[in-house]
Amino acid sequence: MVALSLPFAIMAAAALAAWIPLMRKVARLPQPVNEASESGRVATSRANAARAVTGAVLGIGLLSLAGVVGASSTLFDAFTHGTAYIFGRIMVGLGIGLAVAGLVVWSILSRWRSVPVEPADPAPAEPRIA
Amino acid sequence: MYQVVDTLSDMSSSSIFSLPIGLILVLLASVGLIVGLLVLLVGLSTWISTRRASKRSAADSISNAAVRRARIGRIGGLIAGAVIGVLTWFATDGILAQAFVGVGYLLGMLAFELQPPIQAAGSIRVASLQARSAWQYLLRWAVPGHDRRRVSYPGGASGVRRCATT
Repeated sequence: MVALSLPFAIMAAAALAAWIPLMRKVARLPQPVNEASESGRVATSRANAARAVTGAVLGIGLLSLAGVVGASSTLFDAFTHGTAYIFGRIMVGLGIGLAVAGLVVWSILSRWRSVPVEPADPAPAEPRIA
Repeated sequence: MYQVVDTLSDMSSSSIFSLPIGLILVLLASVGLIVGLLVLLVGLSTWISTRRASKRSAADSISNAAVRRARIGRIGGLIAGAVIGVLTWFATDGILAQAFVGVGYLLGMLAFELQPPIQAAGSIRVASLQARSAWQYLLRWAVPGHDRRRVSYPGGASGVRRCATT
């Protein structure tokens, strides 16, 4: 069980570790100033990238968790009745549910949406011409 | 004198073609369920939404280029990851197939979508500074209070806008 769960746990940890530098990369993308008046458009592509990265990381995390739960459910295979049996069935169902949730979350967050992101600063600085 | 050595029997015993047809079908079904379903759902979602966005902003070439880059990066990464996942199926017992798909997807995004576009250089340069952090792009429900304006973003300024115009 541990041998089966370990790759899934490493997978989830790696996905979470990759999320931070990727989000930082999204935030650091340069943005042309002549498009500042159309910030909605530019912010849309950045927000979509951030959403897609988050969706992929969440999806991988949920799928890995489903793998860990599924692997743990094998501990209850020996039981054919009683509370342990019911607990094993619940874990199998939980694993399947988590896998489906991972797929759905990843699919939904990978959609390209046209809703602009609100700026952090309500009054952005005026462009300076050098 | 020649000694005949049968190497074919060793090869075929470890080959996929030596498996019974039922087992091959089960194997294909599991590959399709674990890798194919993921690639199909995420790929279709990306494809349909980016196609819609392209049609909506048909006149805007910059937006179209960004959408196209995103589509190529994401779907290409998904397919590349799926191919690697299937090729390494026996070596990893299929456990890491989904991880390969995810890694391919993220690398595709990194290579295409998260690379800054090449900008034209000119004699007149315009620049401005704007505070920007990754917190700003988190999902709305993930931010406490569901209202970004009331949240103080740690990290401070992290983005410098630069552009050249002629």
